[in-house]
Amino acid sequence: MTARTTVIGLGSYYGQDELAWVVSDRLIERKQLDAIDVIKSMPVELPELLQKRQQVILMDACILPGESATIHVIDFNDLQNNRLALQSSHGLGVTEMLALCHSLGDIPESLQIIALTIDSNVEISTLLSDSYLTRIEKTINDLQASCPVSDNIS
Amino acid sequence: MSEEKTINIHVPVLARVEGEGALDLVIEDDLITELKLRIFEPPRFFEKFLETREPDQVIDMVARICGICPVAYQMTAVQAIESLFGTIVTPWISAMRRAFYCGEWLQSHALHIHMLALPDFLGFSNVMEMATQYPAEVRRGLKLQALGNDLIALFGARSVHPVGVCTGGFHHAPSKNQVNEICDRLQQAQGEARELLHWILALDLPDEKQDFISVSLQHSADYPMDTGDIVSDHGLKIDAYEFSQHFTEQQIEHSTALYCFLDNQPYLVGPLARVNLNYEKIPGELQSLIEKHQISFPSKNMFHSIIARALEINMVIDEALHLLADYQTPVKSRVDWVAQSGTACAATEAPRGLLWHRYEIDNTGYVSEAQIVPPTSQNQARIEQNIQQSLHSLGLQHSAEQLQLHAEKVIRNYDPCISCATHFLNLNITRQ
Repeated sequence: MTARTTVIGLGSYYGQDELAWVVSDRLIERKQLDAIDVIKSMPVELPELLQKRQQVILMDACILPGESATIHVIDFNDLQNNRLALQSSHGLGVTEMLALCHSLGDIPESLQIIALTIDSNVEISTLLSDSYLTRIEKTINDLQASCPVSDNIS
Repeated sequence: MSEEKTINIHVPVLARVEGEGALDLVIEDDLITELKLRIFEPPRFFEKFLETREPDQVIDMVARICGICPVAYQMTAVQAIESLFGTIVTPWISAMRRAFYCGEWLQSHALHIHMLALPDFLGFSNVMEMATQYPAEVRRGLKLQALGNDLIALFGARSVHPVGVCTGGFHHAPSKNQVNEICDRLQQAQGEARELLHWILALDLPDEKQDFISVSLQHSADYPMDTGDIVSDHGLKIDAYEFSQHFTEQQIEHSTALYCFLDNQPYLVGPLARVNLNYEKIPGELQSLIEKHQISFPSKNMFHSIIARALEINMVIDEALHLLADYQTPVKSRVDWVAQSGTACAATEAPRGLLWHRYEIDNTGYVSEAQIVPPTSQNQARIEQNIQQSLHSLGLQHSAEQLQLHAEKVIRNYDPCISCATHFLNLNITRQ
């Protein structure tokens, strides 16, 4: 049985930091993902959202010099060592909030982070091509397929 | 023969405070010879940006000054502008603005107590460590903070840099269903807030009394938040238009933020100052709870600030619930206004303390000059004075690490808002 996955798009109202929210909206509209719930959220809400979920994929915008519209996947267990994880634009960053969730025992059995690179010179609207969204969907499907969690949960 | 000793403590970046500041401390032969709370964030030029802006642009722009207390900036700006324009808002608008402000106090205090201050009092280096020992308490804090955020979003459309306020009222009134949903959560939070207060009152806080001047708003009927005279426990009682006659800002070489003095003296603003000056406005049930723990206000123990915050969390939850009871969506959520030229002043109580604004508005209704005096600027001189007194009280013979930790605890106790939280980079200690 396929586990139900929750995809959480993290963002803010400001500029390109909104990317994962916009992508979340598009993924919902496209209805290409099976057995997936997509939520838009902010890092501060993570402890509540991650509680009692077993399979979660977080999406967040990220700046990586020289890259735009690339997609990077980070496993939670590798987060502290990843150069992308140190570049959060949120006041209370994703890394800090996930560390707090870890202390509270709220980290799901499977937690993957998809970092969507942005470039300050490129408008979000120009990123949102069909091929870009399809790449994100494929990344999510691949992560879901490789997930060790087998119980059907929501 | 006693050995001469110099301890040089340099904390390049203060942790668990909002923004980028540093502490330089030199102790020579049991005397503090240098003590500088350095705020080195670059100037942000907000007052200049506000020039040539119309009133509603000012209200939206000042919200961007602070991610934690945007409501305070908006409320102070709108009240200054309406004061000059002679705009009389409806009782509904006054009540809902206060409920909006309650949301900000709730989220800001819950954040400070749980994420920034409590780790110091419970012996942890951060909230992540604390959460392993106190998971239920941390979850409760996060829940209270989230409720405060949602109360802000109810009126402001979003919790960070809200956009709901305009001259004369609100752009939009929430629906009855939205309000009912928040009221259900506020009712549930009342019990959680009482539990929090019980817990904070039972903490073993340092017992250290100091002499300082408390300054806050004071209102004849209400606990001070959005209106009132500016008062001190040394006899000051003025309105917002008289602020500049008593309070002066000065540039100090080691800080990019101006220092503010009351008649050339450091002074305290914030929750402890508010409770000290307005204790009789605190409901009897909460007063009894405090007194059961042999704590009394006015208090000269700066570490009672955390109790004041927990008290205020209880008060704003109760008050928001009261203000939103029997809510009806109004026909109009704002009143008409006519621009006037002249000087506009107002003061309100941000979670961290008194916030004062002044605007010069020209005959086209646009701002020609702006001046904003935030709470942290007002507390800077007092923080330095507090560290000096507190380290002497602790005993300068302690190790550099102990002195540093204590100094940081003193600073964090004020919830200074410099901008966004950072981490220690490194620490240089020199002994001779």
